Amino acid sequence: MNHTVLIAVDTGAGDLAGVDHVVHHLLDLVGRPSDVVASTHVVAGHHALAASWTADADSERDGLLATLVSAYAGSGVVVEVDGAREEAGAADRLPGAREAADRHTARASGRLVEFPGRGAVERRLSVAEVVADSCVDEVVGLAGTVVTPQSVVDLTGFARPTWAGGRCTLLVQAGASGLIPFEVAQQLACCSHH
Amino acid sequence: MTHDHTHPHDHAHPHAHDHAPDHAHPHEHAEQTPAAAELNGAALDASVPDRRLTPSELSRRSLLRAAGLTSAAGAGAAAMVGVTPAMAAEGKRPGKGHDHGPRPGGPGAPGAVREWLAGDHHIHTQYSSDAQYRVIDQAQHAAAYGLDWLVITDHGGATHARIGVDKVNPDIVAARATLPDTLIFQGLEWNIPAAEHGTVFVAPGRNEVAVLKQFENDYDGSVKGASSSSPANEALAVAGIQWLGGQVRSRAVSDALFLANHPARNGIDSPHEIRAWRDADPTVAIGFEGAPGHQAAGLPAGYGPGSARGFYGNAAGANSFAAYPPESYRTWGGFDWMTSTVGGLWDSLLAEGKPWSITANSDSHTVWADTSRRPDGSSSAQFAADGRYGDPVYAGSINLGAGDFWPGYYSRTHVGASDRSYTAVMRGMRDGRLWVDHGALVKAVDVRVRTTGRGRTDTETLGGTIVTRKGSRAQLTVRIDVQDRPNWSQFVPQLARVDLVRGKVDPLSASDRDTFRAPDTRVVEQWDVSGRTGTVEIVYDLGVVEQAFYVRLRGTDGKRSQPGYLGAAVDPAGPAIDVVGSADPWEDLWFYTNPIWVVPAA
Repeated sequence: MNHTVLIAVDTGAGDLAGVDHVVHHLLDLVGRPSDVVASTHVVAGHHALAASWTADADSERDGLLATLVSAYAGSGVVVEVDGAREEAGAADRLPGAREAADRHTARASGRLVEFPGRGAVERRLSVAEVVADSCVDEVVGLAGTVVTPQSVVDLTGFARPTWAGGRCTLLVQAGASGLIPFEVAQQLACCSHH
Repeated sequence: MTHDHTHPHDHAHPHAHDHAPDHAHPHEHAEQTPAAAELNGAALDASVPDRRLTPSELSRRSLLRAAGLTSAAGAGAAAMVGVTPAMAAEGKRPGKGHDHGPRPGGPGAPGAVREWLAGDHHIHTQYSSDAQYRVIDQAQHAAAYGLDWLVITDHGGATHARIGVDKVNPDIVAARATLPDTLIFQGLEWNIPAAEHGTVFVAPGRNEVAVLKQFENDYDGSVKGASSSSPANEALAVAGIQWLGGQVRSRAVSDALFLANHPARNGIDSPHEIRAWRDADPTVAIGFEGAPGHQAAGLPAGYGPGSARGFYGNAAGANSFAAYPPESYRTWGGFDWMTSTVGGLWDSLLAEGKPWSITANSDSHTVWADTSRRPDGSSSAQFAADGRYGDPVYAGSINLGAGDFWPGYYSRTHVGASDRSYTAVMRGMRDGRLWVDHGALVKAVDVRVRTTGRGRTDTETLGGTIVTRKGSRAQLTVRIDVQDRPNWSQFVPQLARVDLVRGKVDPLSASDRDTFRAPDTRVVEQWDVSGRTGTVEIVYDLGVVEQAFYVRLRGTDGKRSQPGYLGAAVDPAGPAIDVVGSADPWEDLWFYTNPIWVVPAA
C-alpha cells in the first residue's frame, strides 16, 4: 500500500548553496522518489530542509529514521509516515527539523529545491509552460516587472520556487535578455573575493 | 552613560612603526572631564536652547510645554532620547568652558557651511584581501577626479587587525604629504557584529592607528567570530559604537564616525539594529550609504561584469530580516532600497525626528576597465603573511570584469564644511550637511528652509532643524547649479526633474523598532527642469507650521523611472529597480539631499 512519507533534517546549514548540497545528498540517499518535493526553511538563523513523497512499498520507509540519523550526525531528524511522527538526533537541532517539517506540510513558506516538473522547466521557456509543466502555480515579476504567459524566462539549470500561503510561486526579475529567476544560482559572497 | 576611565590606548600592542616622539602618552587624566555627565547636564540645563535638541526632543518638549506640564528644562530632560550633533561637538571639548549659547561656526553650534567638499568614505587598497591598489593609487585618482577628502577603509579581519591596520598608516601619512590639498583619513571597514559592513574612521592624530586597532580587535565581527544574528552579537556592535564615542570623549582621538555600508544588500541590517546603532551614540553613528559602491557591476557582460548594480544580486539568506521584501535586495536607480523608497526605512528614521544621513561612495576594490593587476606571487598565504598584496603591476589587458569606479569618478558625497580641514569635514557630516550625486549630475545644490513669524526669521540648510513659533510660515528655497562641465564619462549630464519629499515628524512613530515605513511621507511636488541651464531657482511655500515635519530633495536625469516601491500615490516617478546584468550607471543619474526639519515651539 502507499505511504505518505515526510522527512526533515536540520544540519545547521549556513547558506543557500550549503543547504542545497544537503538536499541533493539526501535525495540520493532516499533514491529520488518520482514525486518528491524538497524544500528549505530558515530556522533560527540557518537553513533546515524537508522532503515528502509517496512510498509504495514498506521497504521505502522502514529504517528511514536510523538511516538519516546515521547519515547526518549532529543533526536533528524528523520522519513522519502517514502522519505518525518520530524524531531523533541532536536535541539542539530538533526544533529546526520540526519547524521545517511543519512548514513543509502546511506549504506556508519554504524554498523548493526539488519539485514536480523541475526537470521539465529548468530551461529557457515561456511562463505558460512553467505553470503547465510544473507545480508552480504562478510566475510573479519583481517590482512591477511585466510577466505575461508568453514571456520567456531563463531557468536553465536553476529554479527555486517558493511557497507562500499554500501557493507555489516563482519570482522572476528582468535580466539582460528576458526574465531570469530572482534567486540565481551564484549568490555573491557577502564580503571579499567577489 | 557613565564616565569611562578606560585607557583609550593599548600600551601593550606592538607598533610595527614609530612615527613620532609624541606617540607616547595620549591620555591625560587631569584633563579628562566626565564628558557623558556633562552631556546629561546640558540636557538638564534650562539654558540648552530648543535649537540644540533633536527634532524628536523638540517635538516632545513642545508637547509638554503646551500641556503646561513642566518647564522647558524638565521637558528637555524627559525627552532626552539622543544627543544632538551640536551637543556632541561641545561634549568632546571638555575643559574649554561651558558655552551653551549657539555660536555659528563655534564648537558648540552646528558648523557654518562655507564650502562644500566632495568625498568618499569607502575605499579599499592592497591591505584588503579582495582589493589591489596602493593608497596613493586611490588617493591620486580621488584627487584627480575632484574629491577633497577620502577615507581608506580596508576590511576588518584577522590579518588587518594583526598587522594591516598598522602597516597601511605610513602609506596614508605619505599620501597626505604627496597630496597636501586632499584630506586622507584612515578608517577601516568594520564587519559589524550580526550585520553588514560599515565605515569607521577617526580624525588624524597620534592615536589614529591605536584606536582603530583596538576597536577592530575588540569589536570586529570577523575577528571576534560574531557575524551571525544573535542578541549577544547585536550588543557587541552597540558596545563598539559606544567605545568609539568614549575614545573621543577621552580625547584619544579628536573625532570618530561610523556609517553603515550597503545596508540592504543582504537584508541583514534589520531596522532595530540600525536604530540601536544610532541610539548607541548618535555622535558616532550618523548614517548609512544611500547608494552603495560597485556601480559598474551591472554593466552588461562583455562590456562589464554583467552582475547586479552595486553587486546587489542576492536573495534572502538565513540571517536576513524576514520582513524585508525581495525588492529590497536590489538597487533602485543605483541607490539602496532603504534610501530610494520614499516613505521607506530612511524616512521612517527621519520621521522619528532623529538625524540619519546618507552618503554615496565607490567601494573601490578593482576598477572597471583598469589595466593593472596584482603582482605575481599574490596569494592568500602571502597576504596573510605580509598584511597586504604587493604593488599592482601593469597587466597589458583591460579588466572589464571589475565592478568598481575610482573614487570621485562616479559617486560623490558632498559635505558642507566650515573650512577645509579634517575636523570640519567630520563635523559637517555629523551635522548632516550632506547631499550626494552620481555622474556629477549637478554642479551645486543649495537648499534652505526659511520660517517667518512675529517679526522673526530663521533659516536652516541641509541637516538642520528650524525651531519656529507655531503659526509661522515656512518657505523652501532651492538653488541648483545645473551641470555645465562634462563628467568622467565625457558628457554633460542634464538634470530633468527635481522632487520634493515631505513627511511628518512623530517621535512616537518608532514604537515598533523594526518598522520601515513612514506612512505620512511622500513626494509632494515635482518640478520639470529639463533643458535648463545656469541656476535653477525654486521657491516653494511649505505652509503654516502647525506640527513638526521634514523635507528632502531628489533629482534625476529622468532616463529611468517607475512608481516607487510603496506605490504611485507615494512616489509617482521614483527610481527604477536596476536590471541584473544590464544596468548602465551613466544612463541613470540621481541626486539626493539630506533633510531639513521644521519644528514648532510652543
